[in-house]
Amino acid sequence: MAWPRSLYRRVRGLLRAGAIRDEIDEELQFHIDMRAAENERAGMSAADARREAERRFGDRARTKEHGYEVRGGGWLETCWQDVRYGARMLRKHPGFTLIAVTALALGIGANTAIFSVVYAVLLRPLPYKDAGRLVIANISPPDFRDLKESNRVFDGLAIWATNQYNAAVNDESKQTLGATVSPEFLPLLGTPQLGRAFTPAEDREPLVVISHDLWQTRYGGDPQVLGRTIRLNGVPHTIVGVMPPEFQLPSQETKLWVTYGSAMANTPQQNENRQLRIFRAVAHLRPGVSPAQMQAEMDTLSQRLQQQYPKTNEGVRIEFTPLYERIVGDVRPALVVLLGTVGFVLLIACANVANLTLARMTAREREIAIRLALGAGRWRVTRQLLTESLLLAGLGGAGGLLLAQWGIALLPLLNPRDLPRVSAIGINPTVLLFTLAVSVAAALFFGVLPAWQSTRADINHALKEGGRGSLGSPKGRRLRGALVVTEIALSLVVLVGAGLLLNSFTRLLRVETGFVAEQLLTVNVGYIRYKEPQQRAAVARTIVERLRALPGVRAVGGSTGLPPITPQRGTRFAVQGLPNDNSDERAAYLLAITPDYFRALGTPLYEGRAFGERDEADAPKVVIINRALARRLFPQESAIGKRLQLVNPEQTEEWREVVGVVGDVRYSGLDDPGEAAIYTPFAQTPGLWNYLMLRTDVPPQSIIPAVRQAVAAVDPNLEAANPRTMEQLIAQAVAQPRFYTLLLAAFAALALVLAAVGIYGVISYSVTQRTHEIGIRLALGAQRGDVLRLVIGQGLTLAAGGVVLGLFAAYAATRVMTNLLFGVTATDPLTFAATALTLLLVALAACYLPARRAARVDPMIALRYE
Amino acid sequence: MGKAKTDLLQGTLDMLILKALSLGPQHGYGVGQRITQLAEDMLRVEEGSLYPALYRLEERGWIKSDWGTSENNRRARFYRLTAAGRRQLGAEEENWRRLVLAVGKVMQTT
Repeated sequence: MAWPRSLYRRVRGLLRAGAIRDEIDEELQFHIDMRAAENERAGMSAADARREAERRFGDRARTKEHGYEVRGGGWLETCWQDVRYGARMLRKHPGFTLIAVTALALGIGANTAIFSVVYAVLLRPLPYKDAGRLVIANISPPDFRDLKESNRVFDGLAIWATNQYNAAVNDESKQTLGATVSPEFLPLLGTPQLGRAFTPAEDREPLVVISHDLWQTRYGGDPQVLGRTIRLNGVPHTIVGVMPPEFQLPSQETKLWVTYGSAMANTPQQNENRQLRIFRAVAHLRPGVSPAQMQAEMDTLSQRLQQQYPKTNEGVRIEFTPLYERIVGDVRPALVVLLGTVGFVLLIACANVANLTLARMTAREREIAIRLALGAGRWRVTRQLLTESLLLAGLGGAGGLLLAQWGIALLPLLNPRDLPRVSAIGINPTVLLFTLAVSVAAALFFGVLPAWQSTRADINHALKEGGRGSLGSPKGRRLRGALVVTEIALSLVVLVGAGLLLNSFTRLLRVETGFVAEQLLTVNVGYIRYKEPQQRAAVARTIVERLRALPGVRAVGGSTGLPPITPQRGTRFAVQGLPNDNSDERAAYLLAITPDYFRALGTPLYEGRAFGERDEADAPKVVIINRALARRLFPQESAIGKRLQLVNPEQTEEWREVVGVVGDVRYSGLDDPGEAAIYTPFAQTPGLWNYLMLRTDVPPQSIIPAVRQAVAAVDPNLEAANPRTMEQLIAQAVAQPRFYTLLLAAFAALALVLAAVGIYGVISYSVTQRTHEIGIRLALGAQRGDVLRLVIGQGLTLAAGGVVLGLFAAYAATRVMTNLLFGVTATDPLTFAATALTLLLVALAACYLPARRAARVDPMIALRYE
Repeated sequence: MGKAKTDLLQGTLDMLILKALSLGPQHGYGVGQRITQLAEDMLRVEEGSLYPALYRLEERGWIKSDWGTSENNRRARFYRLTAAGRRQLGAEEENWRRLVLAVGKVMQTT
């Protein structure tokens, strides 16, 4: 019989148990009455007839039970009895239940919360068409054209580049991240939920597809949005479609997809620059083509391009990686570490509950022995005990689900910026299933051992008056000791992990950034509407002058790069008098800056001079380099007066003289060490974009309105966008490590508390067990101090065992964290030592309370006991 | 009652009950009576076996039971054959015929 039907029948049977027994009774009675009536008809007296009928029927009670087995609750009823009995036991020991359920709820809750993050970020399939066969590569526009021409391995191929836009909707403009995408891009990856994607024929028209988010926030979800105009960096674009919310490519911040052809029309030189590998190609593998075949094909192409264009393509390899890797590859190590950590926390919680259960089993030993002696099967008793464990775990799981729900609600407070796909985190059926599985696994983990131990007990021994049973025996003590040692070892691993992250986080905050973050305001201004470089240079100069004149502003500098979170790309260069070198030794960040830039940032000038008004477009070409580069290129001598040649997008190839050496500014992230940087005067190489830094004497936020006005006064089409203080930018730069560090620290604290409770519980229990012995010791003349030492010694022995074991485990485990660390190695001896010491101190404190109780034992009372 | 009693082969009672119920729904007492009648008083079904057999068949889904009214106007538990039971009866009848044939051949050997 199919089991859902059987279950239904059993549930019905269980709910109607009494009625079913009555019905069977009635049925059997009917039978006997019929027989008696027949007997009477055959001539018997009424009394004889009835007697004969009952005699003939035989054992009525047994027949009734037969019927009940079939029609009643059956196996479900036994389970139900177990559950009710278990619930009664838990109610009878509210202290035990509360502690066990709390520990389990914390452990299961942590696992549920982190799993929901892992599921949303790592496990959930990407919401793009056949995402498993999508690959992505860095590429330059000309290389892409060659790839497209020779392509035999892809059946879909698109190019894009991300871009900052000043997106103006109804005169309200906002800094918005967008992407210029070739016409193949949208059809390859998804379908607009409203409107359409652009066609290849429309590539050169100013069209845009907007994100669901932008549609909602800027247009209020207006269904009439199609055909409306949005001004991007001053250029009107027509909206033709809206993408669905889950479409988040290249990143979840991307709100616009603009026609590639129309964007490139503004910067035709980019389209021809083979070194401009800031573009991305996304492609779909043709069915039947393996990734290895594809990459072999790409290597052939790369070699051909290298031979054909040695100057630009030397050493350049077009390398496609799976889209999934690109999106989650960076965060996976951290999430795996977090998942491992919460797994450890749950194991610690389970070990605690197992220990509590073991202690309680000792008290229940006689009860269990009696049940075994009365004929209950060993399996039946084990099942009963496991049912209790499942009940505990079920309560813990329910509590954990609540905690996880709160935890997930609090997640945004931790600001997990840049965590991809973070918006989808929540409790869903998969997460629920995970919680259920974890709860059952936990129940087995902490329930099997005690159940097995206690049903194996020697019944005779346990039944003897005053017998201690097997759990109070040295063997039982060893088992509990082993659990505590495991617990401490596990928590040491978690603590070391948290310690390493904390350590590297503080180092990250103290890192030499190359600038002074306080009292510094940054805004962005785009100059893309000025076609002529000299126009851009002039406008930039005017803006800097106007801002400089604002009250409260001490210095203003403009740059094409914004520390510390604007990833910069290496530009190649040659050095006069040094042999050519195609390695990364000859690559540096290239930034165009206005004269006061270093003064505004607070970056030290070590040698030579800063740029000044004399470094005009037609003046001799000059550069400033940072100290990292100066030391790399000219370790023995001064860099001043040396000459460099830049390979820049404009393909100008003049030699430029080094006039200054400045401090190392961290541009691509605080953890990006010793990057080489070359600065050119903005007047000589005017960029399309300018980050303005304002060093202020007043709180930087206070001058934002004045800055906006000043910029708009120069040209009403310009906007001082994205005003942020440098302190905000730094907070943003450390947001992700901060997120992991905070979470791991919280879990480590939890692990520490659980371990402390664990060791406290075991020592405290042992003291209770040994009251008699301690009484004898005291009676025989032992000092209170001796007893204190005895008990603490017992606890510390366990703790030390756990710490030693944990140190080995941590040494092996922290390797997986290497990528998450900054400034410390995964086996940092100081962190290991400090953690071990902390744990020992906590263990000492946890043992002290029971030890003091032991030392206060009154020998008279202790001896009279029993 | 000097009737020749024949011990029922293991499992045969189930078949007889199914057969008796194939003639129409009947309560437990009636099933016993009907088998005895059909066997022309040569078989007697013991109550101690009858009800466990009924419950067993019900558990397997071959028969179903419901309350009904007996011939003397009392509430009684009536059993009836299910479709699965009817199939089972067919299979058992077939087996039975083969068994009788085979046993008969063996016993006729002289």
